[in-house]
Amino acid sequence: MGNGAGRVYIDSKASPEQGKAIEAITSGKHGGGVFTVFPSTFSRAYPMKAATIDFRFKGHDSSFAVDGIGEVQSEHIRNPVTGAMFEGQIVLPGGLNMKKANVTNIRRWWLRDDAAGWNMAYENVSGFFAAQKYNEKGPVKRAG
Amino acid sequence: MATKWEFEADYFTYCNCDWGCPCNFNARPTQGNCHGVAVWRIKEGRFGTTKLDGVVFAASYFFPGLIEKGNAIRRMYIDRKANPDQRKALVAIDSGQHGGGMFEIFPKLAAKSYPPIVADIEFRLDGPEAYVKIEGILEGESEALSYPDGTVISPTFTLPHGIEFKEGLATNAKRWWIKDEEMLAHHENAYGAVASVKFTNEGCVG
Repeated sequence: MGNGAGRVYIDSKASPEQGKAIEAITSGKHGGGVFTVFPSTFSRAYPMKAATIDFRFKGHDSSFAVDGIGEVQSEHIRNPVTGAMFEGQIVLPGGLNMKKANVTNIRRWWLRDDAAGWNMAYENVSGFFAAQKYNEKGPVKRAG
Repeated sequence: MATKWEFEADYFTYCNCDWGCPCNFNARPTQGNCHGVAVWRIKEGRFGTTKLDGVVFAASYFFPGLIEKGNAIRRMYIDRKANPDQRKALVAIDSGQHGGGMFEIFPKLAAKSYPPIVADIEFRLDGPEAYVKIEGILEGESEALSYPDGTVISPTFTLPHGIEFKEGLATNAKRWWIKDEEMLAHHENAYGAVASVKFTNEGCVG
């Protein structure tokens, strides 16, 4: 259906050359599965923005924050009756952005990017974490 | 006292949820309620001394809200080829009095369990392509899930705590219908899944 809008945020610690490389990859002109498909569905692609990104990769309890823009906090899904931690994985052999991922509960996430007209917040929605390798063909290696 | 039982089976299920079914991940059903069908073809099994090899049976259910909130309507269907002892064994398993995880939990969550029906059950399973038909009562057909460009996706779920299956292939239930008492429905392009499952009194163990 397309008609999407998107923006890439890059950590301020990236060098100018790295910034150019990420901008090139996410332009959709150099392959890469989701990095090609998503830009092709955008009717509006906002310019890449540099900001401090605090990314904590801790399995189900992963989180990241883009300073002043948004924040995401993940946790285990819980069994609604017993409260026990739930673990589940999805394997997608033809996946565009990941081949194997763990499913989590996003306790909350919010995004505010006034220039793009985005202002949203959600609680208890789907989340995923994965270790994934990419090249110009897209995601190419199943995570262990 | 519970009778010791176990079986390994080919399994096909579908419901009114979107592809993947949020219930698999303890989330709310897509439409706020859950209406579905499950079919088992036992490869090898026994209930006490009764062998269950080759027996086919199915179950339909309707939960008006979240599954854990109960108040469900349900029924079991037993293929006519099952002998009298096998039919008794399946009715016993379906009673919820002999353990078995979902076979114990679902009867407890039901406000109404209709008596089992013995009928001809037509069942085929080949990868993501599955088909079940009970003449005049229900029919369901599944195919591989694919992207809009036709590329097959073949998503599998690994659910270590799964009460239905531990590893399942998600499919597209291309169409299904049911007409049984107040369980009346017709859906297209909904959630489906196929799996190879193993059950004992302890529930789904593989």
